[in-house]
Amino acid sequence: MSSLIDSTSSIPYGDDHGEDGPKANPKLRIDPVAVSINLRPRQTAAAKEHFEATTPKFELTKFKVVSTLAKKRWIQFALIVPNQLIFWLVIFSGLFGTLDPGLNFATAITWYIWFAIVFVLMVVVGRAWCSMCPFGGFGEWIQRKTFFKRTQKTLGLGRKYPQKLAAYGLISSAVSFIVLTFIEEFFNIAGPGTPADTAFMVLGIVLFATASFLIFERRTFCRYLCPLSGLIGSIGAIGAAAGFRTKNRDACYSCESKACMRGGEVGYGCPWYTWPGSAESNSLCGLCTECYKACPSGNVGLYVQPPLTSVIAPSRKRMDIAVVSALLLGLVVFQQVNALNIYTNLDNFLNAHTPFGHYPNVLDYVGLIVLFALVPAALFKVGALAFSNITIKADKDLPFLERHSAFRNFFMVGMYGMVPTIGADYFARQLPKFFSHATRIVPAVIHPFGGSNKFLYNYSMLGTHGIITVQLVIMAIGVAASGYATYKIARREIASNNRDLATLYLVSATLIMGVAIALLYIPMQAAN
Amino acid sequence: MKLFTHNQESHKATAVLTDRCAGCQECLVRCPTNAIGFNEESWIVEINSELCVGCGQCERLCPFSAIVIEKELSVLESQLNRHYEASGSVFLSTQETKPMIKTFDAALFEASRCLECPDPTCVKGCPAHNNIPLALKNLRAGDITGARSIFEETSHIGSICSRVCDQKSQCEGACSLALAGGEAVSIGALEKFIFDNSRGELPKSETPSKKVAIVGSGPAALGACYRLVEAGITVEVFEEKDYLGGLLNYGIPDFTLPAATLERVIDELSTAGVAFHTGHHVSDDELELLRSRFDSVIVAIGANIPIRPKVDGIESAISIDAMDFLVRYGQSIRESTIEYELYGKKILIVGAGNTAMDVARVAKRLGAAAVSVEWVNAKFAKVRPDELDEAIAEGVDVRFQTTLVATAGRVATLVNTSHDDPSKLPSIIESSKYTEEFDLIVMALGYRKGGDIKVVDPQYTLGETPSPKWSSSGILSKNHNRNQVIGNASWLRERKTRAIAPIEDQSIYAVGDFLYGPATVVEAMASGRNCADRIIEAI
Repeated sequence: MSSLIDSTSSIPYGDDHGEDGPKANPKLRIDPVAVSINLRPRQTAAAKEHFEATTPKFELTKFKVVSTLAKKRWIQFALIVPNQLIFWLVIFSGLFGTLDPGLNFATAITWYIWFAIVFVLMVVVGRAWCSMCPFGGFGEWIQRKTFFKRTQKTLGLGRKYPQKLAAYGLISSAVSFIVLTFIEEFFNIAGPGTPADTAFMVLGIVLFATASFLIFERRTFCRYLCPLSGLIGSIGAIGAAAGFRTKNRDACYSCESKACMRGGEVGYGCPWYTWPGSAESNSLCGLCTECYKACPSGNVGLYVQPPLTSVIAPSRKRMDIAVVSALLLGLVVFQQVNALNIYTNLDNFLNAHTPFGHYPNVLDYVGLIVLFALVPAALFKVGALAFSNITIKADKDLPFLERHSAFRNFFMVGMYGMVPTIGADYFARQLPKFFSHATRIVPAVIHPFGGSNKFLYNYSMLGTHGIITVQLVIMAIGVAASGYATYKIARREIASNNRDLATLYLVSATLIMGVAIALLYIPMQAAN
Repeated sequence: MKLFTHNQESHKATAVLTDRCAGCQECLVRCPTNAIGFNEESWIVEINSELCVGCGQCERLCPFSAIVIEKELSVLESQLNRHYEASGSVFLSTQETKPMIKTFDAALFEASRCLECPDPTCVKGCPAHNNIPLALKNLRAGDITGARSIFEETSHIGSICSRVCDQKSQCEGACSLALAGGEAVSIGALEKFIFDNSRGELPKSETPSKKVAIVGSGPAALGACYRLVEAGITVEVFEEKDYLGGLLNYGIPDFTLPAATLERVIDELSTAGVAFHTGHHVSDDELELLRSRFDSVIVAIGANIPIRPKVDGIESAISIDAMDFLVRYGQSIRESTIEYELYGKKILIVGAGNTAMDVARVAKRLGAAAVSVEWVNAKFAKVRPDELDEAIAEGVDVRFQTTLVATAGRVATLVNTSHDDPSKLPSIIESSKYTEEFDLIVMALGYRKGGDIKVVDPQYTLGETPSPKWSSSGILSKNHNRNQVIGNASWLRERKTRAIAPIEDQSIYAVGDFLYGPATVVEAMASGRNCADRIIEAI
């Protein structure tokens, strides 16, 4: 019965009455309810200009293979299942396998391989990981009470993410990333330390995710709470996947069902709260294919775009993404610095003289992250003071994302510009573990539950100098991309009387910060 | 003239969740007060709390729940007294019992409560899809005739519909104000006011060349009749009974639908040239004859075979069908030929639907005590809530979860049932049997299709109807419906009725209840009208 009520295909109504129903009379297929005639006009005059720069050209779903696969309801299930198997293996081998973190499958795959793969996917594609993520997948199966079918009834409370927190967009995700990283450092999970700790961490995330899926509707967890959402959402903008977008925007506006958002007969409404009709960045498209399936007029396609498009081109820059970028910058620089002796001295000092007696000391952990996040903020504030011509409006009543100020103008341009540097930094920092120990996956796989064969155990793909060189090359690419992105964004969006000088200042600021961060890799000596 | 009140303190209670507003403008296009604007820079909507009246249509329609309306509905309170009090005795009363608007001022006031929604859910809720906001707009401008003509674009029998429709689950149940938890605009009372205080004009057909015969004179027949007359087609109506209007005549008692109202409608049609033949039974053979004499024949004989309960001894007992009861005693009240044979008697009515309530209330008017038994749980009953309330206010003893299992002479054996699941039939609790004496048993269990016209044999039924938690308008009366399109279920019903094409067998058409089983007056009327449209197109 519910499927009858819920069928959105009834608008405009077709002739799908099932086999036992009477045949539709084609003569009568006129709109019986002339209701929409009084609707106010939509304001879409500025759409062309607003979306021009971000509209991707290359449609992947033009290829039969891609479109056929994307139409299959099981496609995401098929992507999730391998990862799902791996993570259960991680939990079991972490709990019951060998205690040697270098040989245990849990630690070896998680810390040597998985993180590197996630970062590569993030930088090259965007939210590719999200489409196959076992955590979100597991929660979603339970929430939908099915592995991949379109059901109409869901399990759980179906609450909305609290309005006050949602107003700050992805910032909650960045906070949860910082908290998770603290836990990793505190228990030395990522070192890697005791394999059981890795298993507990994975289990903890599964429980947290599943609980969130049962409390909130759709993928509230993935968008707002997942520790990686802010990271992938901001840095993934570098990637080449534009995500699912509309083919013809006017058709989207005049669409009566909006099945891509509300859910249709074959597809769920977007679990990520993204509308193909107005998406201009890949950062909130989870590549789950639901809108593609749901669209009643086949007006959605999967598109690719040149790298950096979602960093540079969007007309609407989001303050939450700028703040998330600054926080993530603070976190990754903290992780670089904590490999240096000077940090060890500071941490020991604080542990001895404050109530917190364990590495990493909460004070220096939070303090340094905030401090490093404030460096770009301060630089952009100086720029705003020196070059901006925006008089700050008294708009404190506006929601967080909608406020305007001279500082925000410079900060958003600068932080969006910094995104490639931050992405390169996260990637480069992951390299020592990968190059030094990735081959340990071989003995770990051969003996997932322990064993003595240490074949390839001590093999390093690259030496210290080699690693540093690769790190510097990656950073150089990131910093150069940042300079370019900052230049492009500033030319278009900076509000200044002297746009050339302001642009020069912003580009210099991003380059200087980028170079400073890159140079940290030399004293770090390829430390993990 | 718009009369909104604004609560200054509640201005903050509206918000757009800027993080996930996708700028689709589903809210903007529907806002009755233009309180929602669009920010082209951020590509999201903005809401002006000062203009917002809190109807919450935006909140209900937002696909991403990105808009929050927490302010109270700030529309003037209705001044119409909807509460029915059976003041004193209803003995021999023919007074109408439904709420009524008496003055033009009161009508203007009530009409001014209409928000004139750009996406009027009331229109979806009305099975005839009357353009209610536009009609009320005309009324507000003082143009009653204009208002009537808007209604007449979709329904000519507004004077009848306004009295017999279950507005609470149709137009008024779908009214934005009701969906927002407030008191709906009294659309029914306004429609009644408009039709009672204006005259419709039907063109008198001049030397028409086409002729259509209609078998039956109920709502479906009347609906078709008006449409055909408008198109200048000659219509002849053949009614089996010796009175016109089918169920509308005695089937609905005068305290709900006064005889004069129906007479006015029939007079209007007669004046326009429709020939009514009463006491004219049409059999299969005669249908063939009609087919040869007319261009088309519409069969609108309704669903008039009473459903009988399977009860021991019911055939031999002092029992009567509801329709027979209503005709006999309705006639006696109307014509003041009461013989007081029911005075002081005790009547058992099997069933507690709308017809059962009518029977019980007629009995009360004749001085009898009425007991109505219905085996389903009161929560799942199909009776109109206002009808039930009025009956109880008049002193009818309505017993839900009770049923008749046997009769012997005047002794009826009743039993209680347990019924917790609406998808299952109630089960009888054997231990709860008790007996009671009654002077008359009236069977009011509804009707089914039937009769002796076999040339056209409609087979279709509407089948599954939406879940009970939906009002029959198809619009969930609570806030938020998990992102389903408002009115989806009414669309579903609409699609089903439309898809059941009027059976067309060499210019014979079946319409209304005869086509798809018992439904409402307004649905039958709309069915007749649609059929007439097809005939006009075909001719």
